[in-house]
Amino acid sequence: MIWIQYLVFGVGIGAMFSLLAAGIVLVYRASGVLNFAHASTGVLATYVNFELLERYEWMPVWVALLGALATGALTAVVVQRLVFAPLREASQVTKLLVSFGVAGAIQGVIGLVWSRLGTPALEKSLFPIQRSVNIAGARVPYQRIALIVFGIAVTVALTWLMQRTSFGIQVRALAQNRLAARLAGINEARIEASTWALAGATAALAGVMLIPFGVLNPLSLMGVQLKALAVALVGGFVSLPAALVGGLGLGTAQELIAGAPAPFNGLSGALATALVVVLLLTKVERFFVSEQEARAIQGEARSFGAGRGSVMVGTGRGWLAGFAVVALAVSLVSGFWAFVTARTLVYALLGLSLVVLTGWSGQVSLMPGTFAGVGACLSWVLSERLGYPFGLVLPLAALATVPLCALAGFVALRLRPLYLAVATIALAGLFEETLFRQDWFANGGRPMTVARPGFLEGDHAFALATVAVVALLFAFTALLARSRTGRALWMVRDNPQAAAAAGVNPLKYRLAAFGLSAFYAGMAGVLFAYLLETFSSAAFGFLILSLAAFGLAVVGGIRSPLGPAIGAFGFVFLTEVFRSSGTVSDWSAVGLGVGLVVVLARDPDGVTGLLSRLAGRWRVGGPAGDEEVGVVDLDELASAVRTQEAAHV
Amino acid sequence: MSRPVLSVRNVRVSFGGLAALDDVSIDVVPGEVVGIIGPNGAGKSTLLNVVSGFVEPQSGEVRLEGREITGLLPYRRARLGIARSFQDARLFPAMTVRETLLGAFHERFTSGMFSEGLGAPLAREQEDAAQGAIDALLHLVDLHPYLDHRVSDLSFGTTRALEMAALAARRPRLLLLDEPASGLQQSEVAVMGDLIHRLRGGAATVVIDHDVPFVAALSDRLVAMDLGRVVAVGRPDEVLAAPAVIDSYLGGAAPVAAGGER
Ligand SMILES: Nc1ncnc2c1ncn2[C@@H]1O[C@H](COP(=O)(O)OP(=O)(O)OP(=O)(O)O)[C@@H](O)[C@H]1O
Ligand SMILES: [Mg+2]
Repeated sequence: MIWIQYLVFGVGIGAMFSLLAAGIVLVYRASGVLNFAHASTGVLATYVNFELLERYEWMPVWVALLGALATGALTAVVVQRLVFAPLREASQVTKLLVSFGVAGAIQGVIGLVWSRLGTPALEKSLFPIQRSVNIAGARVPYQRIALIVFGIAVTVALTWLMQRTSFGIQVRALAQNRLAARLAGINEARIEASTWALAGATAALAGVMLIPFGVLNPLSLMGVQLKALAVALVGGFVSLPAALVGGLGLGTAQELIAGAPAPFNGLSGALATALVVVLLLTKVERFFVSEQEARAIQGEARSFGAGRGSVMVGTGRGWLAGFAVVALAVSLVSGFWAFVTARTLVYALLGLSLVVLTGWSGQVSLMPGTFAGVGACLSWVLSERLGYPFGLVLPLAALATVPLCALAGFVALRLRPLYLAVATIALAGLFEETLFRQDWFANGGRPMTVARPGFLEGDHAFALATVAVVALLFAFTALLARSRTGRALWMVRDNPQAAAAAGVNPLKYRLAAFGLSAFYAGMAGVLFAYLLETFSSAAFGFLILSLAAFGLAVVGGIRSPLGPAIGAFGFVFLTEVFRSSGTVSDWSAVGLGVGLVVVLARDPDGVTGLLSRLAGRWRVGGPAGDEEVGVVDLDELASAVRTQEAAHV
Repeated sequence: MSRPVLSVRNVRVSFGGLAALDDVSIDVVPGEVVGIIGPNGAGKSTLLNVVSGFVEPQSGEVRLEGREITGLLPYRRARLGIARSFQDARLFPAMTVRETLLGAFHERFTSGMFSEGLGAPLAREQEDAAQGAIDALLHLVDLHPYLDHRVSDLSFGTTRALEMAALAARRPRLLLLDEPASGLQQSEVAVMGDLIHRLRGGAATVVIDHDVPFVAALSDRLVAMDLGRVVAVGRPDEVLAAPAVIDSYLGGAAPVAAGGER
């Protein structure tokens, strides 16, 4: 009766998906924020819970649980007040990205605090793991049953709260028509804060109950949250009953497949994620959209926020000259620093792929790391399995990344911005659970080794090669920015309808942006593979690489190639410079997270935007980004037109 | 009469149950300026959307110089020589005036992504040619002082002028203007009329506006619409005197009086 055990496990996990999804739905309804920091809130609360239990031996578990719930609620409210309240008018995509920053910051803080205290033990759980009951011959721990009972009960209670109480009605009124709700005397601030508090507490509950089955670290629950996001999507991020059913269904299916005989059980994660992707594409935005809808989606602007001034792009020659200086520096420093420089450049290239895709074509994709992983795995396949030399692997692996990633592009063309962002997260997961675990493609997830060619064996030589490749691609990008292609991308980003009316094909340029960014990211992956020489596909996970690349590109300034260059220097190179203790990476996580929040909230052009404005102030007579211009109206224009005419006659 | 540049035949469009266009037919002959007037929701913008490809009619057809273009995507129609402005005049907020004008030459380039990214001579020549073409354009509309300003920083009137310049740069066969004078001050409206004449370069033109005297002065013919139908067509003075037109404006007040004197 082993399957009963799997069933109970599945329903339990599913109930936790539902519970987390319910919190996400609540917050989305009240504030329009798809909160990626939801899980991190729960993880922080879980740390507090077990810290309390470890520190105060006498403390009953339920008191510690109360402490955790309070921590979750308080964290959520602080985040809402501090970060999201000022962002009310921002686009949903911007809010999602900001929540990534918040998640990173919370994870960094957890790392900083508990690297001092030491990770608390997970021994004293709410329900002792050892005790269990027999159900039809299967041994089922109490704790598994508790997951089911608490998960379902709390989700149902939240549903009741939203549908039957005056509080729920007020939240729904806010979601439907903010202005009208305000006019009707609903206290927006209080309702929002209470909703966030409630959601934070449920995240804490999920963390305290679920994490003891795994390990406690700052990234706990992140994988679970990805599934919870998909579950929330079943009901379009607004329906709690749909989240309940979706969560239970997904959890059950996942565990039952895991319990299936040998060839099938491996599909557990993959099948569940595949289900998620299909669900995402069919339920919320139909994959095969009608002509009418295609026109409508084609016409939707994709800016996630424009900066305040024009940005520096640099010239092709300028970039080549700059990188020549880097090459000179590389040949002067030690092998270690040459290695660090090369690593920095790989991150910069990954960020550059986002400049083209997100900064220029306005499409928020969270899978640059995945694309890089494809490039890295392909270079292993080509070099180790097929025996191709480095000189062929480098271009081929990067090029082959493009068609593999075109899948994402085709999906992207059919989705609205917020769903695109979510879809790319799901697709990243799909790649990780399928392709990145194949024996033939990724050595089954085990370490892969590629050998640098003889003339590039040393770190100096390889770093110089990296500088050369990256320099060419940066120069290429800078030239594009001053050409028809760059302008067409911006036109499509800013106003797709006006772009189409000017003869620009929006679909073509959106797809081209995906292709180019896949090539850049794939190339970054190839370089990364040869730089590390031994690597595994896990290094290219969404949570590990994509978020870092996204964060550094945004903080540096995502509309200019200078952005990822600055971002990579700050977050990869300087982190290495200041590495004196183990906490430096936590500090940089906090820095990246806070930076992301600040940049997105204040000026999407990031550090580059700031530099541009400073430079503008320096240059006398040059356009300054900030000031309003155009006090001169048509009147004056007309007189200008007339004088010129007179001059011509 | 010469062959029409634009010929719209029996077009019907409905959104849900609402008939936005109900059996509308319109011809525009070469060199002609046709004005469209009508109250809010009459279907004027929808008609432009049908012609430029942003809305597909449920029935009826659209021909450009005899060629059927119904069903073509907007960018394809643009390349066949249709240029249009939008009622919102948003343009490309994060781009500069210079970039916007260069963008208007998009379809004239033959260079592709790779020749541009690699700085190939072909791409550079075309870029230089486009820069030169902009200079010629700037002789007609003096946007010099704003070249490096972002569109979102421009005043409304300047944005409209930029929009007109970008449209003219494409040398269209058919120019469609959706409320070019809306939001302008009265003094600017007269200038806009001048500007349209100067920039359209003889292209067949359709102008929508609520400022009836402005449209009437600009147009060779007027089309009056109401509730998705054409209620009158003809010389401006005839149309403005037509009972159906007078009815649809302000409970019977004559549109000329409603629009103010000119
Ligand atoms: N995409 C759409 N979806 C649904 N209804 C629409 C759409 N576009 C237009 N309509 C409706 O069709 C009718 C005609 O609209 P249209 O914009 O063509 O009017 P208009 O004559 O341009 O008015 P205005 O002078 O206010 O610009 C209106 O009732 C409008 O609400
Ligand atoms: Mg209109």
